Amino acid sequence: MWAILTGIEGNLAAYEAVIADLRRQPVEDLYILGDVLGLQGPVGPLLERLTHPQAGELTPQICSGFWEEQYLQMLGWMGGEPRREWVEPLMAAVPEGAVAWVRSLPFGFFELDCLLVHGSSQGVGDELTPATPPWELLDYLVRMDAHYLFTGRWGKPFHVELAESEITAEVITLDQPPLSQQARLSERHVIGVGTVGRIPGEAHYGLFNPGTGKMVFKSVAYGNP
Amino acid sequence: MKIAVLSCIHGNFEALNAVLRDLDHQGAEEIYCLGDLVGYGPHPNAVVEMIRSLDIPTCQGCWDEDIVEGLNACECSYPSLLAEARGKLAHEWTNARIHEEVRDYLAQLPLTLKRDDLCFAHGSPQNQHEYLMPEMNAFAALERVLAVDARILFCGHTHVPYVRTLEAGTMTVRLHHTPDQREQAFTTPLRRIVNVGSVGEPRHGRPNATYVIYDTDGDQITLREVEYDYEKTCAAIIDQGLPPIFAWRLAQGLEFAERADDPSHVCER
Amino acid sequence: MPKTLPHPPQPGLYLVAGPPGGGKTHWIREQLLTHPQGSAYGSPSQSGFCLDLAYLESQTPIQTIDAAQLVEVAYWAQQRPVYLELGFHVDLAALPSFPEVVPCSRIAILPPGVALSEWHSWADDLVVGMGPMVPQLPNQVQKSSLTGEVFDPASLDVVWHELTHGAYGRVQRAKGLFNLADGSTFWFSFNAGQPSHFEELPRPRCLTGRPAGLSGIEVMGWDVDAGAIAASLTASCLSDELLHHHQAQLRDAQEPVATLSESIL
Repeated sequence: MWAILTGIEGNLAAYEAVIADLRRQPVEDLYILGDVLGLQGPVGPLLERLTHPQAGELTPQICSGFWEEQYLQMLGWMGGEPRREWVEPLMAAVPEGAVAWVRSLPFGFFELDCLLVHGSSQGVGDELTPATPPWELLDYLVRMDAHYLFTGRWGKPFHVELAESEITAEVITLDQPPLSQQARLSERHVIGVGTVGRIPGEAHYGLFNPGTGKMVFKSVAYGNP
Repeated sequence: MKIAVLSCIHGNFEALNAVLRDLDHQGAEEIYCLGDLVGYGPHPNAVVEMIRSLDIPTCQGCWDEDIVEGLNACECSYPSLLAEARGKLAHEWTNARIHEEVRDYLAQLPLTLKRDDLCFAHGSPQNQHEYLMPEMNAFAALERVLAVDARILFCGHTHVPYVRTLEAGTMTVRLHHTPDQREQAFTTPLRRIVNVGSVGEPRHGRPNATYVIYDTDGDQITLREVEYDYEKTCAAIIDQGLPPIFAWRLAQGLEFAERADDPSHVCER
Repeated sequence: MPKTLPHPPQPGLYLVAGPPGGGKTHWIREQLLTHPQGSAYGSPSQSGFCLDLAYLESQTPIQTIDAAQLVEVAYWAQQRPVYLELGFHVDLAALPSFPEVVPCSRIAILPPGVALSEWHSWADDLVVGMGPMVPQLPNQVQKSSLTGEVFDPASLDVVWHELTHGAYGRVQRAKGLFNLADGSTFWFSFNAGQPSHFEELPRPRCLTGRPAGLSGIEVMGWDVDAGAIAASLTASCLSDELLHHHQAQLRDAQEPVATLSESIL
C-alpha cells in the first residue's frame, strides 16, 4: 500500500497527525507530492522531521510542488515570476540553507503505471479537478503512458475514472490510400489526494493499493498541540 | 472561399515562388504561413521579405525562434549527432547573413493564429517543437485541437503533409468520492488536424513543394504538390557555401536533418 | 550458390580474384569455416589495413601472412592451404610466379551470367559468386581507418544511406567495420543495385575507453568525394566526453555491481 499526500505547507501538527494515522496502516511507501514549503507554519521543524524519520517510520519520497517552485523562483534558481505578496512570508517561513534540499527534489515519480506529481505532467501549477475536460486529463495520462495520475494542486480529494474511451480517425496523405485508425484506451484514473496542511484541524491524504487499484481517501482530525 | 496554408519554407525562394503562383492559380484568397521561414536554405532574407510584402499572417517556427534567441533548440530534439552538426552549421550560416530587420520581424511572430474556428500553429498550439505525427494517439491529437477551441488545427514541422479526421469519439467519465457521484458519457466532436507539409524542404521522397488549400465552401481540404526548379535551389545552396549534402537531400526529397526519433518528445525548455 | 572445392583442401596456393562485390571474401570465409584449422590468408593487393582480414578474423581464427613476402607465402603454401585475395584492380598478368613446388589454383569468383572476362582466361576454376556484373570497373578506391572511433548509430545510418544512394559520388562497392556507441562492432557491406548487408561481429563489447580493434571504411566508385564522406563520418563520431558519459550509463545498466563481500570472496 502507498500513502500519497501533499500540501503540508509547513503545518507540522497536521503532518504528525497523518504519520500517527499511518502507523495503523500497512503502508510500504510514502509519497509526498510537493508543497512541503508553504505559509501554514515554520518549515524548519517540518524539514527536520521529514529528513530524519523516527525509528520504524518510512522515509518519504518527496517531489517538488507549487511552493517549492515559488521559492526557487524567488531565489532566482528558476525562471518565472513568483507572486510578490508571498515573497516576504515565504522567505521568513523557510530556513536558510533549505535551498539545496529544495533544488534536489525531482519533478515527480513514475512507479509501475502510476504518475505521481504535484500538478500535472506538464507543470506543478496545473490545477486538475473533476471539472477539467476529460480529454485533457486523458492527454496527461497518454503522453506519459500512465494508468494512474496522482495530483494534489487543487487541494481537494477526488477520483475521476475515464473508461471505455474509443475514437476512430482517418488519415489522408499524398501517396497512401486513406488509412483508418482506431484508438481504444483501457480505463485510466486521475486522483487528487487532498491537502494535509491547508485546512486547519483537518488533514487529508490517500491510500492506494497498486496491486488492486483500490483507492481510499483518509481524513484525520487533529487539534492544536 | 479558398485559404492557402503553407509552412517550413526554410529559405527556399524558388519553392516559395512556385507555391505562390500555384495558390494564385487555384484561386486562394487568403494565405496563412506556419513558420520556419529560414534555416538550411540559401535565401532566408528574400523569403522573409516576400512573406512580409504580401502581408501573410505567419506564426513563429522553431527555426525562426532560434535565429532570434540564439541557437538554444533543445539538443535532444536532434535525432543524431550528424543532424545536430548539420543543424548548427545551417544555423551559423543563416545567423551570419540574416538582416536585422528580418530578425526583428521573426522575433515578433505569434506562436499561434486563430481565424474563427481554425487554428494555425507550427508544431502544436502548445509547443512549436512538438511533432504531431499522423499516428499519434488519437485522443492526444484531439486534445491539441480542443485545447485551443478549434475545429481544424493546421500545423507543419514534420514536413510530410496529411489530413487527419478525428471522428466522433466516446468516453465514459465516472466520478468517485465526490458528493455528486455520477457517470457521464462524453461524445467528442469531429475535429481535424491538417499538416500542410513543407514548401522548401520536403520529406515525402520527392523534391516538390507541398502546401494545403482549404475551401471554406464545402469544408474541403486539398493537399497540393507543386513541381519547381529545385535544381536552381540546389545550385544556390552550393554557390552560397552551404554543404553540398543539403542540395543532395533536397533533390531526394529528404529533409536536411531528419526528424526526431521520438516525435512525441516535447522540448521542456 | 558458390561452388566449393573438394574437401579437405590440399596444401597449396589458392589465388582468389574477381570483380568488386562478387563474393571473394565470402567464398574464402566459407572455406575457412569448413576447415577452421590450418589455413592461412593474405591480401597482397591491400596497402595499409585490410578490412576483409579483420572481418575474417572475427569469424574464425586464421593464420595471416604477409603476402608481399613471396618466400613466406611459398613456405606456408607447402604446409597448408593459403588463400590470397586479389583485389579487382590487380593486374593478373603481372602476378609474380611462385616456385613450381607450390601447387597453385587460380579461382575466379564471378557474378552469375558472366560469359567472358579477363578472369575467364586466367582462372583454373570458376565459382559463381553474387551480384550483377559491373560493366565498368571503379576508378577509385578510398580507404580510411576509423580505428578508435565510436559512432552514433542514428548518424551512421544516415551517412551510410547517403553514401550508398549517391550523395558523395557514384559508389559501386562499399564496406565498413564500425564501432557503435553500445560497444558493439558492425560489418556494413554494399554492392550497387542491392540492399546493404549489416552484420554484428562477434567481438567483445567495448564498454570502457576506445575500442582497439581495427575499424575503417572502404569505398570503390567514380568521382567519390572522400572529403565530404570524411566530414559526415567525423560529425557522426562520439567525442571523448560523450563516449565516457555513454559508457558510464551502459555500465550502470549492466548487471548489479558485486557487493564488497562478493568481491572479497
